[in-house]
Amino acid sequence: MNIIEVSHLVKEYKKIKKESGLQGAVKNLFIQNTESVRAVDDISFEIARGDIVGYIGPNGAGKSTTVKMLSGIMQPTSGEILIDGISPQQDRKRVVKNLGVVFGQRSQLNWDLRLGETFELLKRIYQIDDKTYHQNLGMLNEIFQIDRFIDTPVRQLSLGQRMRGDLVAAMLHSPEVLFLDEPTIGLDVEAKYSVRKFIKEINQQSGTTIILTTHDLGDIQELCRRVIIINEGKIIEDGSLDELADKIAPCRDLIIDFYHPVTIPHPHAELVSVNEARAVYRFRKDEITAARLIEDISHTAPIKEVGLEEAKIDDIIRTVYKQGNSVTGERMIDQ
Amino acid sequence: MKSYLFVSKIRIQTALAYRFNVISTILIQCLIMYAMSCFWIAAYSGAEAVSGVSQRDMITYTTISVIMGNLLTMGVQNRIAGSVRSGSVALDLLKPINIYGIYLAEDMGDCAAAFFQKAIPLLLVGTVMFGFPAPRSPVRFLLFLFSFAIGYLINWILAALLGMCAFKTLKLGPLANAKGFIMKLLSGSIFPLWFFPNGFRTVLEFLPFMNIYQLPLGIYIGQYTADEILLRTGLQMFWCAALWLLFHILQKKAAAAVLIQGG
Repeated sequence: MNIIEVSHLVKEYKKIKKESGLQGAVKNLFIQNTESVRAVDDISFEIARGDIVGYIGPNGAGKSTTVKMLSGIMQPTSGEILIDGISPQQDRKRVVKNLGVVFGQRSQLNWDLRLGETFELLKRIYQIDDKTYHQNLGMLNEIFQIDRFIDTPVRQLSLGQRMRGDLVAAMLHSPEVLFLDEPTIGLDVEAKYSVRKFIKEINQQSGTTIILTTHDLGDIQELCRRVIIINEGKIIEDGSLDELADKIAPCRDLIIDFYHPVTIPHPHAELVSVNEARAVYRFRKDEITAARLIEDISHTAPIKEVGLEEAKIDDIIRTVYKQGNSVTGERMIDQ
Repeated sequence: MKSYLFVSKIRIQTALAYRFNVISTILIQCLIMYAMSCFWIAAYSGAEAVSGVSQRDMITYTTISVIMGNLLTMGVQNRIAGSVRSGSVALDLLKPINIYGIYLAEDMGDCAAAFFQKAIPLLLVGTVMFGFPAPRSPVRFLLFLFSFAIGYLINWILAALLGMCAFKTLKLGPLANAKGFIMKLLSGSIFPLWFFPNGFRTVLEFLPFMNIYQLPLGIYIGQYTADEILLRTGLQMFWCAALWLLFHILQKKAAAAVLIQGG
């Protein structure tokens, strides 16, 4: 069942075009040229209950704008959004009650208060009853061990601790949908790991539907069953990461070390390089399997060692971004 | 409701933590109070009464006016402007609650903290310097409290309205200064309106500003007759309702047009 339905969503900004230089600055005082920019351009998708979806795209692609419209704090220019059957634009309060949002770059924790006090405030804002509150806090504490710094004023927390605090704050009222906007930004390896673990566990334990915006593809690889890639306000890819990899990078590299330098061609694989006794074969997954290739080659010459190289996710995503740019390249020049 | 009370409570708690702020404010406010009182003593230079107000009443007026100035908190103005500028308004809007209610609760908390931290010390200092600024009668004092409460709301709504300009302009800049100056001058916080020329005074009496300082203070020192109090309080409540209505309409529009900065 779909918990989020988005159809033909558009967000247009009016942007004031400023001319540069002193002359331009004076001119700007009297004449204002506006131009409209489509930050989100006719986006449609559905998200199933309990899914973790990566919503990715280069900087300025329209990710955050989408998240802001989904959570009802920004009005779309046109299009429809339904979260659990309710439109956030029509009934903001009801939708946000069922929503947790974390913006990695800004905190909802109150600078002056102890972490626990912010939680107490949220408990009242979301009208969480005592039992549920303690149960949730207990569960979240188990994953995150926040009780070590729950009595520390927020301004004294490290970035990693603050992010943990923010994630707990977003989950206190047990929302069904969680939007995470770059939750691992600026975190060290350890903190990143624990944030990922947190996301995985709340998804499993509470069945929370999660939409994750990130530039860290490690997050995507580890967490997301599905990725939606947007660029220039348009969805350019939507599917599982494996499907995407097969589509964008259907080739894999097989590295074979022989005992002696040899050159053995194969009908289903391209010999990319031969360096001393090492040969690299590139083959399409759908044409031949690695096992078959090794077997064929080992008939001709004895093999010492083999290695298999998958396409790197970074490269795949980069390729997708680039393709997206070439599709919409014309529009860019217009602007 | 619980969350609003909790916000106020937190605000009081936070205010108590900033001691330096309190001490410096009290010192500066004492100075202003002293200078203003001396100004009136010099201006009266022994005259029995000016515009029907005695020198004693004028000093009471000034003392209470300075105290009121410390209670009329309006953090909302910069709170809205600040959160629009930094983009954190997004987080405020994500709560299933009226954010303006939260802003009001914050300001009320500040007001309550200021009552203990600033108003009482200032009252004590004022009493030591010029004698206790007593109200005309206990009934007048109660009426003053009521009038002050409505004046507080008018003051708050004006500040919130100005703060909402930030949704469009992102920065308040000179607007805030201009408003501060107009308020000081036209509300009777420094010079009671009865010292202004007749025509100008009549105009001012129909504007909302005098309802914030002059009306409660006039009631306090017994400047108004019962009939006048009734009439003026009616006008004050009308202004409060009208401004609230305007605020209510604009707030819906502002939320729809919200422009969120950054990422």
